Amino acid sequence: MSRALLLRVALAILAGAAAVYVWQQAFPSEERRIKRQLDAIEDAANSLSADLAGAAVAARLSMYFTEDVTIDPGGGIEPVRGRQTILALARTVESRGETRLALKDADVTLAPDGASAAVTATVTIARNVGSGKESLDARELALTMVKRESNWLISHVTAIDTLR
Amino acid sequence: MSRMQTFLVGANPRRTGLRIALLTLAAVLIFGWVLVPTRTEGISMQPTFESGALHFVNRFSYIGAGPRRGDIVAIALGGERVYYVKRVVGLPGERVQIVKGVVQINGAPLVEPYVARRRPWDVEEIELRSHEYFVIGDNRSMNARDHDFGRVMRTRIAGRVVF
Repeated sequence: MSRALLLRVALAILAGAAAVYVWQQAFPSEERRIKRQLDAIEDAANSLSADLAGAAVAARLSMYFTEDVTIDPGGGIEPVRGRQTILALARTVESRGETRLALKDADVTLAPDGASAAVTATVTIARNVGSGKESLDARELALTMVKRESNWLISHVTAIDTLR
Repeated sequence: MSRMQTFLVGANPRRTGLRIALLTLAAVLIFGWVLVPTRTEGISMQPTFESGALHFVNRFSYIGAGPRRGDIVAIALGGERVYYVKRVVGLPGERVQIVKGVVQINGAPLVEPYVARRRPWDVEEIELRSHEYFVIGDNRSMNARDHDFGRVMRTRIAGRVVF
């Protein structure tokens, strides 16, 4: 194969990859939109604080959930119900940076009608416990998300006990 | 070809390029699917593993036979990026109990030389079903409520942690 042909093939592959990337960014699939929503929730959760800016973030965070959302943390802990409860809890976060939350390994399964989705993900929570040390907790989550006016909202969260 | 070029790409650049491509492919396959690097975070496996240490998970360890007692295993949570790293202490079908910090298997205390200090944890006896293992971290000086341990399905064990 001549060098010129090799170069053309390489350029064609690069151009194709770039086109696919641009298409995916401009017209994301529902699965990608849901993952972006989870990224936004992660960013908001890590921006909470007790000041005025934090209150705005808390309000924005609560809007990622349906009004009748249920969060079941398991382990015998009473579930959290309702968007207003989440807003109230988010407002109690005192300072930024002491706790860091990450949502990883999100796997999305769309319902056939495209109106809801089952999502599994892993949440890790790192807490600064002083003296430069961090405690780390990880949990597997099962989420139900529903589509409301083209936005994906979380309606149900259940913590799964990987170790029982 | 100049000496510098020969030094950089060898006498046969095409062969050098092929070797580099093959080595890269082998590295991607090995470290992407076989020996997966993982960084331990947290204190539950101290003193055996310190937080921040790098290890590798051999995902082919249990193709033939299942985990053995004492193996340090990686347990998958929701996906492939986050694992629990714990030690297997109980095997399928066994009765496991913790009495004043000592793990008991079928009523007999388990000798655990890797545990430095223990708090007096008490956990009621459970019987492991087939394909269930009991896993726990080596750091028993923590409060039990801060330490994730318990039964895990065989299907969740991603592999054995090696070096």
